[in-house]
Amino acid sequence: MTNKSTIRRVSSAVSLVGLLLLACMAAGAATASGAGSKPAMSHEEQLRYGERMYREGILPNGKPMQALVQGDVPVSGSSFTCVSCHLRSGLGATEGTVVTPPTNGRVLFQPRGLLQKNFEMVPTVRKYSLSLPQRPAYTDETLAECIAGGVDPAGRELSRTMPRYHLNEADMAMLIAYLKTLSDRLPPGVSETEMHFATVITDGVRPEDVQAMLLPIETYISKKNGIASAFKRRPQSMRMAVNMMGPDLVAMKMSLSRWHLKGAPDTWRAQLEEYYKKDPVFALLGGIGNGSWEPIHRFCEDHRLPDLFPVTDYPVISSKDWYTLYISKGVFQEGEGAARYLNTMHELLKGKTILQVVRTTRRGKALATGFLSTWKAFGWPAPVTVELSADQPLTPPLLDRLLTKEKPAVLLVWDDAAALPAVAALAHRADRPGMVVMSAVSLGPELRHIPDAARSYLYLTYPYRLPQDDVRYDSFIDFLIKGKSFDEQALRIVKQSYALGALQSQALMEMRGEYYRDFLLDTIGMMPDMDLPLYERLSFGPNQRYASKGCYIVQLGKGDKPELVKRSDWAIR
Amino acid sequence: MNKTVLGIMAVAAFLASSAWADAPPEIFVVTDYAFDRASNPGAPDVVNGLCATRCNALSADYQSYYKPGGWRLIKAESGKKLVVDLDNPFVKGTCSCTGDVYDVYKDIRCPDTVNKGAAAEKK
Amino acid sequence: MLSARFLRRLLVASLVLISVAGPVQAAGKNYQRSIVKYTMPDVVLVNQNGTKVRFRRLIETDKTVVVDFIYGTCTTICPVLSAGFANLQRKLGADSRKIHLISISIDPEHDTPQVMNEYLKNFRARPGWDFLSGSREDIDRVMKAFDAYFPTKMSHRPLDFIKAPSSSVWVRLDGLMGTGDLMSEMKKAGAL
Repeated sequence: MTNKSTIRRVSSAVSLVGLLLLACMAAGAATASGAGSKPAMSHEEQLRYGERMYREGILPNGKPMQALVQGDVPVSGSSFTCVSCHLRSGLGATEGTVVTPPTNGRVLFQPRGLLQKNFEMVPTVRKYSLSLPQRPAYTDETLAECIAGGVDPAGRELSRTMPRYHLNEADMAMLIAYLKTLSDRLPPGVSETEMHFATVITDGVRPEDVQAMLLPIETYISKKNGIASAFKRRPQSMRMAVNMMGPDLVAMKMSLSRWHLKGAPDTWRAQLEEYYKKDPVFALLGGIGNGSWEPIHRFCEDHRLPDLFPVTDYPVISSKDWYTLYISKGVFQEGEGAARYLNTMHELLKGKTILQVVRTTRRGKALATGFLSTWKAFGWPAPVTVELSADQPLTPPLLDRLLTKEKPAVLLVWDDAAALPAVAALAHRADRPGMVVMSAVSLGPELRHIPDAARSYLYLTYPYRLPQDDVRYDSFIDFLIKGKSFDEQALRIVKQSYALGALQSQALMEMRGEYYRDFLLDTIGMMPDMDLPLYERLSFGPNQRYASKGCYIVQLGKGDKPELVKRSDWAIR
Repeated sequence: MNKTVLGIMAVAAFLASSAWADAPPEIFVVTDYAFDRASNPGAPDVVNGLCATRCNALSADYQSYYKPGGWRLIKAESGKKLVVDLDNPFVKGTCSCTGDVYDVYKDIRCPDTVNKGAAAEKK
Repeated sequence: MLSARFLRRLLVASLVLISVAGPVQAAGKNYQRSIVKYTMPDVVLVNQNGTKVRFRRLIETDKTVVVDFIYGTCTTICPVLSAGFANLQRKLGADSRKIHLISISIDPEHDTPQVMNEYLKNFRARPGWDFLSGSREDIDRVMKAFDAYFPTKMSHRPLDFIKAPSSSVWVRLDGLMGTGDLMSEMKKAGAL
């Protein structure tokens, strides 16, 4: 590059913000001097403010940070946060054609060479490194210059995609102090030679389901350890594995503890704390429980411990929590699917009654909550809801009475197969609802035995790929299930757990040797969609915490061996 | 003649024999849809979206044949038009679903690669 | 800490700019421009208010249309594209009513009307900027119609498409750009 063009590039970026910055710094100096009368801020407070700037783009004074991108686009820090590109761990990412470098102190304060040491021959890392320029180590001073002016310590102008932030001196110092804490020390459960995990198994789960959950994870770990042993014996024969995994991961052994939780859920927290104290782990893999996953979810949030794909019908539904990644929203997602489906024809339902009959079991309530919260978010009034206690069956006379009273156009029955006779009896009723909606999963094996007469008006939520299509994905898990027998429920668990193995192995390979917990979740958040058995599409994204987001509405076809017939898209909009 | 050529010949022979032995299963991949306004001139606009759902639900997921591997799709017909009942309890009418028809062939794969789904995922 | 050395650099850089450099846009265009003809599918999509829209009708309008492809939780590319849209609306002021900005989700599984509505609020979008989602099948059809099909959202690239009211062709801009560049491209296309 010629000197002239270097000057032009550097100057064009710097000059625009230059005068603004001078004004900002003058203001900053005034603030700093004025701050003398206030008590000094503790280091912890500074880090909290730094974190807020990094994650939310909000200054300590409560106002959004201000910045310029693409040379001339003014943006508010709250819509253009550091975390949105450099991610929670600060270790950066690749998205499409844009590569974002790490922004944590540990990496910034070291010089960057052409290639990452020891990863020179690992294609994914090599590609990432080559897309970033060489530079000397940053200092606090040059880092501040970079954040404000967009020039790195080599004098190179950063991409115009990187915002140039207007920060006063005190705020800049807090942000930099926070960057120094990001992905700084290896977390518990990881050493140079081992990565340790645990899986949580709660009381009351069928033993065959526990085995189904463990099988793919333990197979994955044993295969990985086989590679590590082979590498130790004959490193020269493992060149391909080294290139795929990197020199550290290939040699690393993995181990899995089983954390059994016994007794009432309100005692689980203490048991988890005890396990974690004695046996610190990098992350929780899988796990299985019959009830709500909330106690384990909360524990993981509090300890900043990733928890990947637990097998649970009752995940915590949250748009803010970070550490537990679920494969789907479980039972809730079926209720959500029903609401989305009815929303596509809400114009036709205006002024008509929707009746929701809910058996107040955990499952019935989760289906109803999924429906109700989604339906209300569309802005529609709540349906008429009738609750039946857990031991009160929906009999044909009871259903008749309810229909005579409410005359609904749509009937939702959030119950299990015990309600099928009452639903089937509607075939003879002239003024029956146009649609009756139930959960296919809640019907269990009885799904295939729905009486013919009811098949025309019974619509079912089905949160998996249809069986006749999923059969094409059987080859993925043949190696796991060959010679073993699983019922339908256990086979689904094998498939869910297999997805965890695929996710985990791919994520670890893409972590570039940076085994930090937030980076594990950051890496998963940047992974391409996956097509695996059971679900139509698993997709990820920063802050997305439910990988499968769809749910079909199906009907049962005709005949003795009926197929499920799609009546909707997977992602109903 | 080298092994590659022999291999290609074997695959071709298999495809040819399986094609002639039985009519291959067909799938329909929808490319376009529309509500037939003449079927219910007074229907509200919502029917356009309902025909989208109706036709898309008839469509086979093309990707689900390619992604797992082991299947080969050969286009048999382009632009086929299916007229189907909207099949909705609250509004009458028909939809035109236009799409392409593919013949589905079960492919030949080396057994060693068939059951290495996990390895394939690792790329 | 912003040092005296940095202040000096800024001053020197500013002076150098005044003497040798042109406007910022001249520092190098990082995008490619092409003129293309596309046929749009007549698909039904849903906007941030949950309203169903027929995409072809939306495009066949007497307004200038600018289209991009984004998603709600996107990290690097989409915030830049969206900040560009927001800034364009601000710069155009009252004229922004003549322009219809359309962002199309490439993550329809996640981008519900609620997610899209929040996203637009975050960028302080004004009326005239819609965010559309739909079924995977329909979104795929739109991406393919624009020759912008991404099998997975993580492989996407920054793209803007401009169509002037009377025009039957689109200006395709491949790459990230500033508002000045976008506006000058719109002028060039007869869209402003």
